Amino acid sequence: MSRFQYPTNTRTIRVLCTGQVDPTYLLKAFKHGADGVMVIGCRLGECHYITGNLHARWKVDLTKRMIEKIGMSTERLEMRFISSAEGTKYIEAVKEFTDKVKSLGPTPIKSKEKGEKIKRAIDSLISTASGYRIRAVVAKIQKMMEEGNVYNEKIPQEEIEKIIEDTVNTEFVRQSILLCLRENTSSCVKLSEKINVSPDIVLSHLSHLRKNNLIDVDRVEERVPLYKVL
Amino acid sequence: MNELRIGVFVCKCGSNIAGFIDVPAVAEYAKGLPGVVFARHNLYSCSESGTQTIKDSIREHNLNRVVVAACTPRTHEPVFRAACEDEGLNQFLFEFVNIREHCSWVHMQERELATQKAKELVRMGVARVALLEPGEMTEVEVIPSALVIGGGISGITAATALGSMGLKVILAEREKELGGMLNDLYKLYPTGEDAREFLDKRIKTLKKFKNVEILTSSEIKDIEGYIGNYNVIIKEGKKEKDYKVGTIILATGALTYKPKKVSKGKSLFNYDGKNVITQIQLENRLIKGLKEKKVVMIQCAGSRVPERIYCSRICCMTAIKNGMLLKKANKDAEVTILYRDLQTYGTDYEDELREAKKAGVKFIRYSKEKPPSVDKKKKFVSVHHELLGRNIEIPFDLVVLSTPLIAHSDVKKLSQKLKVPVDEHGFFLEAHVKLRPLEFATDGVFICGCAHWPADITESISQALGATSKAAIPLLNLKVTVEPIISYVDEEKCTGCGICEENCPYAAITKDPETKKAKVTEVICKGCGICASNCPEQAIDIKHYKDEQFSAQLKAAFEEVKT
Ligand SMILES: Cc1cc2nc3c(=O)[nH]c(=O)nc-3n(C[C@H](O)[C@H](O)[C@H](O)COP(=O)(O)OP(=O)(O)OC[C@H]3O[C@@H](n4cnc5c(N)ncnc54)[C@H](O)[C@@H]3O)c2cc1C
Ligand code: SF4
Ligand code: SF4
Ligand code: FES
Repeated sequence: MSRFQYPTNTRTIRVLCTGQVDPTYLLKAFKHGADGVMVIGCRLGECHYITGNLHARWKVDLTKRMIEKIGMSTERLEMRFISSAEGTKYIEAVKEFTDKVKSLGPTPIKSKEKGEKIKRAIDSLISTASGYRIRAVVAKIQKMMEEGNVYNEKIPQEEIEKIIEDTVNTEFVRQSILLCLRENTSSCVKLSEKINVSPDIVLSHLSHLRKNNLIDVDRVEERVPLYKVL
Repeated sequence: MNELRIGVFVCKCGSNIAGFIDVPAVAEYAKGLPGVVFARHNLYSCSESGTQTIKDSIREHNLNRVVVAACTPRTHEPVFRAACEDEGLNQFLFEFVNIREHCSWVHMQERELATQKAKELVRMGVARVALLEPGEMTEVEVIPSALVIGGGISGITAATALGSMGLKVILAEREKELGGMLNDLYKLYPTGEDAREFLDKRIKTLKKFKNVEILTSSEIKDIEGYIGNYNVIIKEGKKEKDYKVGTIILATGALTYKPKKVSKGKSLFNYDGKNVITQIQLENRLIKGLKEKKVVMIQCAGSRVPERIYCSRICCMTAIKNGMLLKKANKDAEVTILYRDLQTYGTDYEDELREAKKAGVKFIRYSKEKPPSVDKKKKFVSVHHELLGRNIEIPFDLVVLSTPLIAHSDVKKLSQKLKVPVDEHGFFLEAHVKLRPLEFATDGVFICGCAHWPADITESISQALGATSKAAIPLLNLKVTVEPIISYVDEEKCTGCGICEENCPYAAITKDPETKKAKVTEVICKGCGICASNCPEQAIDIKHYKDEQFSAQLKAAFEEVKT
């Protein structure tokens, strides 16, 4: 062991392989107050469990998109590929990352004005990342990319990114609505203010959620319907 | 669930930890953590008296969870797990917190902050241990036979060693002959032995073992299974045969890089296979007798360059050896070796270099920026002489390029069949260079020789013997125990979508034809977690690395600390 020194403000959590890294873990770390999260896997193509770090790369990518949605810098999340024999590289990566995160300042979670709001937004992201749709899309897309390669019919990167982006957008709004309604019954306009999404979009999601029996109209006050979760 | 009774043991590791961390303060802090009923510090927890203290405390305080904050689980986890088991506490209810490699050794100048960090690491460990569940090791029966793939010197050595233990061995070589690269060599450094004789002697010994089945002209068609129980289909000529083996040794060796011949364009140092040849072609010509007198060798031809950044390790010694042989055969021979750096590691090899210089082999250094050029018309090699500071021209009859060893082009196929990784250059990648050499993350498969990295015969033989002893342990024990760190499916949640099955790199998950739910074959599963992170229903968890255990650890990592 070389006993290289590195900053004390890092905590390591061991996974057997980055293949297990779930977007929900990364989001939970942010929720609990991490200023930055780094995923360190083997060198690309050299995962000891063959494909683990390729999967992780997708998950990290997805999580970056998600935190960007709520105004958190994507630089707070990073994946590096370092072999277990490259101690110095590991130290360098940790140092670089802590420096970068330091320059970004403390996590917005800790901010007095915005903290609570961002925490709630992360909760919606965690629900989004736990939901069937986004998980299935990410899992399937990996396969599509691979198989695309096998038949040499590469699916354009932009197309894939668009699918992911759209799914994240939709699911995030829906989960945010559900989260608000779980606390209080609310109207379309109020919801729109609370989650910062235009009323017409909120309305379209409300009708989708209603169709799927996730919410319903609780009562109508002054001609305005108030919704509740089922 | 029973009331939590967690015991925490913080180790000083002599001064390794206590020198940089306030260990008693960490133990004191641990006492206040939820579920902790007992905490203390030890001088050396792993010592006889240290483990005894742990055992006594488990008994006296009726502990049902144990945390040891000490060094690395790599070496010491088994010790503490055994101590728990001795007291009837399931070994999976134990958690190791590394406050040495992750703390004291890496924050030697910051006692206070390091102490703080150690407390937090202990807090994370306590949060995790509270949620751990007991587990049982699975025992798997082992078929006492081995497959060795590749019949070069590494494979021959491995098969002979396994054969001498009385084990059944299948040695599969795809060429017509055993021997690999040695078939093309003339004399061997550092002993000067004749390669043919050396090889024949070893093949003869190997063939004495009736329990070793040698298959030549044989390809591995298919491999499936897991440690102890592999089914292998080998195609020998036109016949296909099935074998059952318990462990596998990979000894598929390497090739020498042959520069591409280009008719009009340029090839590396004007390589043509006639007047500009490679070392292995030279060895072949030496066997028949060489006429050329003026020989220029160029080292690092195609290695330590951006496409192949590695050093091939054997080429310096090969050039020195062949230079000497040329000088010995013909006093008037002129041999010049152009090198970038010379690697003659160890005492024997350095001696050979001195001998070669004494015998009159000339050594001239060149730099990567100013490589030599070969003029085939005028028959000289031009090189920038670093000491003279100008170009010099060396006449030649023959130019020999020391090209590197490279991986076989079809190595990926084998790596996919065996589910073991290769590095960017196609050499097989062991689990860890220092901690788990010659092994893979996939239990039951081992690696040796040039398939692993360029190596000479001495090294190939040592590695082959190392791989053999590792491969033989389960074969002689007739059983292996496998850790229950594997995935399991919550059938209530599973919808049978098949995503996990598609993504498992080991094909450990299949759909149960009756329930239509995902089902894990426990001995195949490696616990990598890929299925879990991809399951859209979050129906999969990894035992001992469960979702809720991570979540608890994450939460504990960021709690505000009261100290
Ligand atoms: C020019 C030259 C000179 C050298 N001189 C010396 C020397 O003087 N002294 C010294 O110590 N070392 C020397 N070496 C190094 C020496 O050749 C190697 O250390 C040695 O050959 C390594 O043996 P191996 O069994 O690992 O690999 P190999 O010799 O490459 O044997 C591997 C075998 O596996 C077979 N195989 C490959 N793929 C498959 C597959 N998929 N299925 C079945 N079979 C397969 C191959 O056909 C081959 O027979 C020299 C090397 C070269 C190139
Ligand atoms: S991915 Fe999940 S839901 Fe789909 S089959 Fe596997 S365990 Fe079941
Ligand atoms: S953890 Fe899942 S993906 Fe990994 S080997 Fe086991 S079943 Fe396969
Ligand atoms: S083992 Fe998969 S990333 Fe390291």
